[in-house]
Amino acid sequence: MALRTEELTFSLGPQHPSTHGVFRAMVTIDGERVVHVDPVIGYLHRGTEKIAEWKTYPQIIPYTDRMDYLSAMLNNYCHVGAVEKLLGLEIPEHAEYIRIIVMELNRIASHLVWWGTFLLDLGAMSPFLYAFKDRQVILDLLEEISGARLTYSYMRIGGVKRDATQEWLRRVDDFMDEMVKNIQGYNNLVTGNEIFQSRVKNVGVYDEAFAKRWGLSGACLRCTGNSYDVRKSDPYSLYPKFDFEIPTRTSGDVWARYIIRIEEMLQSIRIVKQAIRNLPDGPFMGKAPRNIRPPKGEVYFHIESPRGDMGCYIVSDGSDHPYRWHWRAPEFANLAAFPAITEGVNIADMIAILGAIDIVLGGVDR
Amino acid sequence: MLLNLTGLLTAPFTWLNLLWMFVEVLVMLVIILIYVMAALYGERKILGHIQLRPGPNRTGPGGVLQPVADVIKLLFKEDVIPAEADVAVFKIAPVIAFVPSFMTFAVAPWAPNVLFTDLNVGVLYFTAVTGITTIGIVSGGWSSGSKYPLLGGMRGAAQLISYELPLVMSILGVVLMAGTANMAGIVEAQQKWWFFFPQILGFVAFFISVSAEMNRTPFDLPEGESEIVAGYHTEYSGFRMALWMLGEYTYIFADGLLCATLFFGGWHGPWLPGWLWLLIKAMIFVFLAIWTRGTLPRMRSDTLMVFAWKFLLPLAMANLIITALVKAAIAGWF
Amino acid sequence: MFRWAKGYAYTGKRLFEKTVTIQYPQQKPKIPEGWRGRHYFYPDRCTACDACARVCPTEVITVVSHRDPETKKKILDDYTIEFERCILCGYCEEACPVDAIKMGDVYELASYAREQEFMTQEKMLPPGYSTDVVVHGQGEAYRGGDYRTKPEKKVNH
Repeated sequence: MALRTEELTFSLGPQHPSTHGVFRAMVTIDGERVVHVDPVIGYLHRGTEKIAEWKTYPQIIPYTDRMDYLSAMLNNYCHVGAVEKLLGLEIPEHAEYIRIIVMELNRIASHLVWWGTFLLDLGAMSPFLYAFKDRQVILDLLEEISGARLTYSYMRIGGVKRDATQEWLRRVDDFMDEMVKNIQGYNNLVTGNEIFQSRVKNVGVYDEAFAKRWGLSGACLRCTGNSYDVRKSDPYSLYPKFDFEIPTRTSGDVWARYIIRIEEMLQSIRIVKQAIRNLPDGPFMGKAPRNIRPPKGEVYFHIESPRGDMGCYIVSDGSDHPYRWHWRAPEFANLAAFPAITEGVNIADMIAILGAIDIVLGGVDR
Repeated sequence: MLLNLTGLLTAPFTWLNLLWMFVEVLVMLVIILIYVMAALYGERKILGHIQLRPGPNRTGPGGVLQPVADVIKLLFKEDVIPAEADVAVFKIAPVIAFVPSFMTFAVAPWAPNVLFTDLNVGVLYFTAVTGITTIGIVSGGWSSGSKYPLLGGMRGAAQLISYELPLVMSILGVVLMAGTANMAGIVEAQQKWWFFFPQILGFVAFFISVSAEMNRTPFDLPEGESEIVAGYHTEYSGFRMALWMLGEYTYIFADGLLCATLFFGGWHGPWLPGWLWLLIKAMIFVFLAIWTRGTLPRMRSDTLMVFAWKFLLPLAMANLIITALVKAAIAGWF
Repeated sequence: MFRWAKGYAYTGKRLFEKTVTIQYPQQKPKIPEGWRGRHYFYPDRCTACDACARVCPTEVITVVSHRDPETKKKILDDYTIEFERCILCGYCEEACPVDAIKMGDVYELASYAREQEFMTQEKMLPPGYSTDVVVHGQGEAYRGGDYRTKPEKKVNH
């Protein structure tokens, strides 16, 4: 006898423990199997791009903090870098090194949040607190140099806000050594765990063609074997001077994305240590004009954020504020592929896939 | 003896005896409530220290009054019943889930002759009664008239029924060794050595399936916070929520007692009185459950099923067959 | 097969480690130098140049001043910050040529009403300053509440 079954549509979010903020998905399920997912975004839309058209270029910097709030340093840099590219400014090497140190520290902090919340999605509670314990140290360091814990507004057009002291650099260096050990501990706690591996291996698999078709970037793209990382593929700042690798995997599943992010943390530690060792002397602020009025024209500048290829597109009309200011948020593009990846998986896998995309709603909704 | 409970049931029925029974049950209930409070506090404290935080520390010295505060809060909370709920079932479901957990204590052998019911089929009674909780979980999930609880209830049904089988199979090995299904009899049979050593395979199967029965990490799928919000008790609030929690924590204790009785020699132990030994062994089990919660991620529903049917059940059956063969061989020799 | 045991070892070891929690109200976090908390305003230093108001991204600073008819110098009348909308970016501090506005170390910013979030000169007095230095000139700045009474601001472009 055939059982009469019905599909069930329910709303995952916007107030759900594992949607990382205010993401909402209308999920249609057949038993435990997901039939269709309809993402609903925009709950955190603040119109940053439109606001930016009414602000001078330096005034936009605090607004970029509040987009992808886990990687505010990198957002700052993306905007500042775009303006500098438009102006053709020369940045002192010392400032650029400090920028790289704080950006990579921020990348580690962002990955730590991802690691903790991803494990929370999978039902493990402790990793979240271990991750936040280590992130706390990074936030304290960034707080000391920038004056805020999350919304740094540290970058300035032409340099950085404040110089790093020798003592601060020494402490960063010490913490990086400790962080390597901590990541080893994370691997002991989680990565090797059989239950964890059964949750992530062969889950949410897609291939390179799929990833390219959906415009995925970051770990979501590199898990398919593609080694696209803006730091290497379209180098910016002083990254060509540094010796680091782009971790890639070919299996294209959640496990690959997990391992890539863990390895990226180690690579970031490598970069920070190199930057501290080779830090040249010099001014922390270059010669930037007092009133920033870039020439007429447009510019696109993109960097590798913890979540992928983040870009800032500015159209200047020659005044002190942009005519159009557009932001390419990597998590927005990555999230777009979410319904396609989750078709036919079960609910638990859907949560794991969503966690592995690493969305930050501040960036998705802008 | 005051605690000679066994005789009470077989004694001729008098009103005094009935009153006496009632008092004893009440005492047990109070003990359970005190234990649940202690377990709540212990869990939060241990979990806190595992996660490098102090846990509750504001209410009373070291936060010991935190569970009291929690209970008071739950008692005074509004009892919300969803508009779509099947009210009668919704109200009775947490009771159905909690009462069996309390009933299991009837056969817990605290010390020689200190047990409520010296049932010949004590182990069978234990597993049979725990099975009723499944009905509570399913009806609680279904009657909420909401989607997440429905999913949680269905998950609960699938999981609890699947793990009932390996659980009983693994217990059968012990029963076979002891030659009795009487809880006290099983403890008596462990006079020389614990059944943990000869029944190591059975213990593995038992421990895993009993953790699954408890609905706790890594088998907390029916609650699965990050997936289905709070599973079958999403819509519950106030004291009905407290009943769910009570049932859950009582089960940890009851399963701890069962584990100690079946595999770790129950009341046997040097120096200390028997009931204390049993309590200590059960508390070690509770601690293990808390430690597990602080360590492992949640399993997925399909691997959970595969694990139960393709690994645990064969393991428990193999254990049963080996036990039977060895026992037959020994009996043949002598 | 038994790699999960490493996880138990890890968490078990943490059980005996020192906790890292800061017991907040009793134990205050260390505030680093240059931290961006609630503002301190030094009315005696202010030259009413309006630089802070112009640089502010959220346009929350109101400077009211008048020109001295003899010396042609600007004289401060009133100074307020609509702190409820302030994003603590610290631009005002950087823009100020005379260090009249400083980001302080106050981080307990919650209050019971929006009106309390409105910062007048009295509320922004730095420690050790008496209310004598507060300037009450001819004009009075927007004091929160009804936005219709808020003076129009020059748009930056």
